[in-house]
Amino acid sequence: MGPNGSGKSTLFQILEGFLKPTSGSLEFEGKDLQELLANEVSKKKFHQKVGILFQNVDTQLFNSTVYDEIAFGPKQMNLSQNEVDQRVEDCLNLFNLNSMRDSVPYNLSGGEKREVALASVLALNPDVILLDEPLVGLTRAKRNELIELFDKLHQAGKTIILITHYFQQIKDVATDYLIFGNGEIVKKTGDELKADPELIHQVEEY
Amino acid sequence: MLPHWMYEKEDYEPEIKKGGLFSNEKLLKGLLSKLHTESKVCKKHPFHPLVYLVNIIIISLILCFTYNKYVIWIIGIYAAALLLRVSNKTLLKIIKRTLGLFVLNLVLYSPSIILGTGNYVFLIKMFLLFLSLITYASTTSVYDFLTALKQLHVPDFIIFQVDIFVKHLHILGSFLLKVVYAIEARSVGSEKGQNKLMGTIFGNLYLEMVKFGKELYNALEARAFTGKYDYMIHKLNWKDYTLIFIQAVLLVLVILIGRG
Repeated sequence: MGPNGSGKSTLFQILEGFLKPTSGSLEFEGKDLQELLANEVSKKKFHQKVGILFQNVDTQLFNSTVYDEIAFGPKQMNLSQNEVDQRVEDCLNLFNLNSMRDSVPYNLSGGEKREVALASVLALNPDVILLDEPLVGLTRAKRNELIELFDKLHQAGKTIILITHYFQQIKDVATDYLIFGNGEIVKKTGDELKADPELIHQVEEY
Repeated sequence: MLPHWMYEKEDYEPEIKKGGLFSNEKLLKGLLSKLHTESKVCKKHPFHPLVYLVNIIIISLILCFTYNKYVIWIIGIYAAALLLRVSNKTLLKIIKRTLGLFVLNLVLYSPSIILGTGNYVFLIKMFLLFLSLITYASTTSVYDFLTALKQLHVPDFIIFQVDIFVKHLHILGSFLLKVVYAIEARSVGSEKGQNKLMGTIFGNLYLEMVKFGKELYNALEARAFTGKYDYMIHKLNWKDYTLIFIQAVLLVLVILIGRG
């Protein structure tokens, strides 16, 4: 969490390996990220293990139908056609998108596009999921549904890192917080943050 | 309830096939990053935009029309002197770009050299022209260029077209760069079927550009845009007067030496 322009999305781009950090280094599963990305095989494995949902999902939807969009990743994972179809079906069911299977992603509404993009990330079955403001532009009910889904994914052993301005809605499921602001990043556990009313007030202002 | 496969770890060996859509990914990303990088408005102006633009126009015209070796020497020294004020990083960038462009043109010109009909003065002129133009492009923001055009009384609609074109390029670069990132993030195996994406990507790009164009038009209309293009007013300082003086001396020298 943090104010606009504080570097949250940039951090995600670094975590996904799109940008190189200007200083410091990153490790994934005990290996230096830049070394991992230098090798084609480990780079592809890394992208399977770490999925990302962009803030602007328009750029994330580049296939001609919702089915192709979700199947894009699984098709590259040596799965049989039946398994790919099953994954797409399961992801469509997760978001109740079955009726949009053959729709053109570009023509969907903002919220639907976000769901299709998220479904296409989940179809890769990543271990870590980076979500850049996934709750923006959704109704309260939809936000609650998504938070419930994130909680289930977390229970299934996935690490969810999300950027959000909705502290009140995520406070019951989030375990750790990184708060950006004033040129520094503060790390707090859920309990630590709840015990600091001043920081809560600051976070709610974002 | 989540599907059962989401509780399991993926165990597969990615296939690698060379020659896919993004086989030259580094080059593509570098190019798109350049388009994506928005031109910044310089707060500290090295020269008055108009004086600097007139300077480059004069140099270019002299180089185009003269074959006098002394004139070319003078221009060469002048172009090198202008390089003295740029930072080391910019200087390196200018030299790299100039040499790149020069070598490319040298290859095109090589048949004339091989056949013995080449003119070495032409090559030096070409090099100096590239050097001057790249120095100008590397040390001037688009905004300053547009300000200079406005002060040269170029019609507003032309300046407006150039401005919109640059903004479109920026949006195009930004959009395509993010699409490349998105494809990279989900390219977890062999790149089969990626070539089919081109149509959809460019279709989406076209739709985005149309959307941007319409929104821009509506925004301009909503803010009562009259077609008048405003610009920042700059005052001339001693550096500008020095440049004007050098330009005048250069022109006089060129005329005198050219005649002699």
